[in-house]
Amino acid sequence: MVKVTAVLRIAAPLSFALLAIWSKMGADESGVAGSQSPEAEADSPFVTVEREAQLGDSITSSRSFLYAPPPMPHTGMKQDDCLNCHAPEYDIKKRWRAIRPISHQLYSQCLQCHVEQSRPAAVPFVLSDFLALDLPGKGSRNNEYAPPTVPHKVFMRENCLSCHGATGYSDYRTSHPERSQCLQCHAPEASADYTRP
Amino acid sequence: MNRRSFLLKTALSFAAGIASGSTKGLSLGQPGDGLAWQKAPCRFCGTGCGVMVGVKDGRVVAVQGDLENPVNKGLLCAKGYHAGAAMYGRDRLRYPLIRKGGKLVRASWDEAVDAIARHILKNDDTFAIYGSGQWTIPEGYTAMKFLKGGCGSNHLDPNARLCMASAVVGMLTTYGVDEPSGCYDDFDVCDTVVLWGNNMAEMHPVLWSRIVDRRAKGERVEIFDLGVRRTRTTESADHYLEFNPHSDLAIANGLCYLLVKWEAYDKGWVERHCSFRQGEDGAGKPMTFAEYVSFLEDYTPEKVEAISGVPAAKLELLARRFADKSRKILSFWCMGLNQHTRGTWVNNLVYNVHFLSGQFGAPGKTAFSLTGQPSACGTCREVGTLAHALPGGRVVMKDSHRADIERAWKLPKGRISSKPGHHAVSMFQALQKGDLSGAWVQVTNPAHTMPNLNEVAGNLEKRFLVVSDIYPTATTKLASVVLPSAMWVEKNGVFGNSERRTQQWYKMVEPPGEARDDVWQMLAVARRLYDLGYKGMTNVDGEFLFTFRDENGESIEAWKWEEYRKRNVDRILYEEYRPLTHMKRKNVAPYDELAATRGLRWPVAQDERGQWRETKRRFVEGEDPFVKEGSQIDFYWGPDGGGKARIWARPYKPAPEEPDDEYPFWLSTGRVLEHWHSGTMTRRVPQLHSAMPKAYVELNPKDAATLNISTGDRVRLVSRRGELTLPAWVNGRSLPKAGLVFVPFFDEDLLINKVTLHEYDALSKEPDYKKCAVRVEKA
Ligand code: SF4
Repeated sequence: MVKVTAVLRIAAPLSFALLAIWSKMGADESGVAGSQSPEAEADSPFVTVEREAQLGDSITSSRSFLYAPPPMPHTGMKQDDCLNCHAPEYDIKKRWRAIRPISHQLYSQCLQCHVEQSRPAAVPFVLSDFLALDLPGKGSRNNEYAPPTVPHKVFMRENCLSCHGATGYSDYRTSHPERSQCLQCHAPEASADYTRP
Repeated sequence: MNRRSFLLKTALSFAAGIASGSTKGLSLGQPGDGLAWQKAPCRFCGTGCGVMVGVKDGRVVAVQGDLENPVNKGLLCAKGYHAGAAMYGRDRLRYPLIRKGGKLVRASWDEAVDAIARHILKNDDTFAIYGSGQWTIPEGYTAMKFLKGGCGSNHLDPNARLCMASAVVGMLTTYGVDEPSGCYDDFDVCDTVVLWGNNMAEMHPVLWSRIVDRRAKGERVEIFDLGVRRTRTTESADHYLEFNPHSDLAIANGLCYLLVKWEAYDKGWVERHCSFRQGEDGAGKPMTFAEYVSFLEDYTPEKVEAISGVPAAKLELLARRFADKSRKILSFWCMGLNQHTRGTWVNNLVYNVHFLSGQFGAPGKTAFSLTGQPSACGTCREVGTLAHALPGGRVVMKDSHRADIERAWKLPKGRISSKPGHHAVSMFQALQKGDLSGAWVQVTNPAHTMPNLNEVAGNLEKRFLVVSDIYPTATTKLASVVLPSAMWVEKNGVFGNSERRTQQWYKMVEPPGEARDDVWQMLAVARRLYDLGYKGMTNVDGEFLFTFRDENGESIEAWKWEEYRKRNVDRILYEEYRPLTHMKRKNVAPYDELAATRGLRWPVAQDERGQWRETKRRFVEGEDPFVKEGSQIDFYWGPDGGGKARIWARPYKPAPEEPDDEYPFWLSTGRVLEHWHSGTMTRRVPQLHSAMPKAYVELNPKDAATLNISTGDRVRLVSRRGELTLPAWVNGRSLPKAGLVFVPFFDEDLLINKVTLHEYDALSKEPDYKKCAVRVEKA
């Protein structure tokens, strides 16, 4: 019941545009909580929707630079709604499977950083010449079989599975999502971490 | 290596397939390669979050929250993250412009500096400087010395007059010295929060998170939101007390009435630390406690309910919290109380509530005035860039204060005028009338942000208006000379935030084109005046007023850009200013100490090992080094002496313009999370612009239904002064009370200040942008 309410609370204010995108995605991929067939779930709990293609929500498309908070890719949310879907502990199998858990520690005022975007997109006020910090490339490896280092800073990205897990960006998904202690093998590069001396 | 180029988007591609603008990416070789991070305070609000600025190839490419900064501990709001992107709008001003034949045309620096100097040479007593709470401390200090020390005139005032002057006069009349007693550490330990017309969730987001996120850790914080509209802040509040605009005066007095009536006030605290005062002006007359009690008789819960619309039961609930000695109560306010025609009074009244309840001067117990701009405290209030002030809490009316500064600046006796200059609104009225011949505007946009624009900011194009800015604005359009400025980390800087924390940063990248620091601009004009034989720019030794010397005693020709940029002139100016802060015990920390830390909260003092120690809570024994031993709390600047602060009897009086039959709605204006002031920086960040592309009018759904208005309809707002047509937003981000409409002021295409009122507080001269009467029509 709680779940249903949660879904309704979110679904109700969603813009028409987003609903249209959803419906195009087909039931198998985009079913909301509990709508997958048991076989599909048993088959592979890690089947995901390629949201990037559908929403254009690649890691680079919407945010201003690598470490910027991504704007909200949908509309009509109130502050309290976000964690209904994006809470870190939310069971991935029980919800719409392309929703990412938040990458960082729990802050309650989500909309203070993740700003909603107007639909349709606003005409630019003035063009920007900002050159963004690019993706960091791959981490280095000692040898072919060694785990690569983490090439970016970890602060605000403590939950690796947000981007690299089953619902992460398609290019960055881990080959071994069943493992959860990422930093035990993947050591962060000191040079990517400004907090170090 | 599968490296993808990080595309730069000026519009969000996922939304409607619009992708325009540059697609140049900046790729990062090896992790961290060529990328350097340096600390700075955020460019935007008075919170003063610490950021780490990522610089690569001479450009700011990323901004992060600074984990080491105790203000924000790594968190930022959407504006802060995009402070770097805000520097790179394509239309940055790159060259000086001079108006010729009605058009602004490119000019050389030499030409521009000369034009300004020659105007001042002829009009030194009618030339004003209009500055900003976004001035760095050295910028404000330079402007002050230029005008008050050089030109001998006091026509210098900042935009901060429009945002926190009432808080300043409130503090001066209450405890005799500016700036709050408490600090952000109190936010972590209070258990009750009272918001006086304050939408912290949008205006001081990171501070709001600092409080509200405590709940996620299982801590209990009870929040009372007193407001005229339900906002994002109200979403996290436990109690919402909706009041009629302007009735906050009655509410505060009503709380005091109940505390006294229940005998629940802190008698010991009041006896030790307070005196009573009555009257409408700043000085007032002494009064007895009995007289104060009879004054409060007008504010019984029933009477307060009749004035404010707040149910008596809700007022009593809040009063019970103040009566509960085990509570730790923190009050917050910002523009709601300050932009108020009784701003000083209502500031006084909030202190009353905290003094009577003894909720002051202990961890978690304080009344905290929040500041809007990043250095309204540091530059406007502490440096004193106000029409009546001099550095370090001095005022021009006092002979000894003028003498101090004349000595420090090596000025001939009598150079500084004892007559206060024009305050902000009066300055623009004088420009309108022609009483002032011209003005130099730095880091602000008065043609957009002055109240009642039609009347107050007219004729600017007919005066000699110099504007230093980074982008074209409503004000540059009217200018005679436009000077391109360096922004934020394109120059060195020092800001002072809301909690008395002074923060420093170093220049990290070059400004674009020929843009140059505001400090340099003033030095160059001052020097030109000196070269033209203008006496004001000469000190008693016959030297140039801004003579700086290096370690070897050699004079530095800082007015030459090539020389200026090689030096840290900021450090020299700041160190010249620093000793001036000692008189009023506002001792700020040395520059090098600021450089080595994430800022220090003044007053600072050195301990026996020579370490600099900051002060968390002023006037509190054991924390503030200037407090008399054994006094517990010592208001050492208290206007009545004896270490006491004042409890003021300030009555409720109606607002100067209230809704009537012809203009039946209240109009309130303000900011939104995404945009900084007039939006000239934040609207140039695609993500922020796209989040909040244009202004709107928010209506209560009932009013909207009566007027047959729904979201998106065009609505005309008409006041006695002007009108504006803009789209309606019903059930949007906030919910105004019935009979009130709200419009944000960031949009230069929809200038709500054509409609607002310029009536101001008689004591602080701060205008009321929150209240005027309008008619609402479907267009
Ligand atoms: S809260 Fe204020 S200081 Fe902090 S990041 Fe936002 S705008 Fe900057």
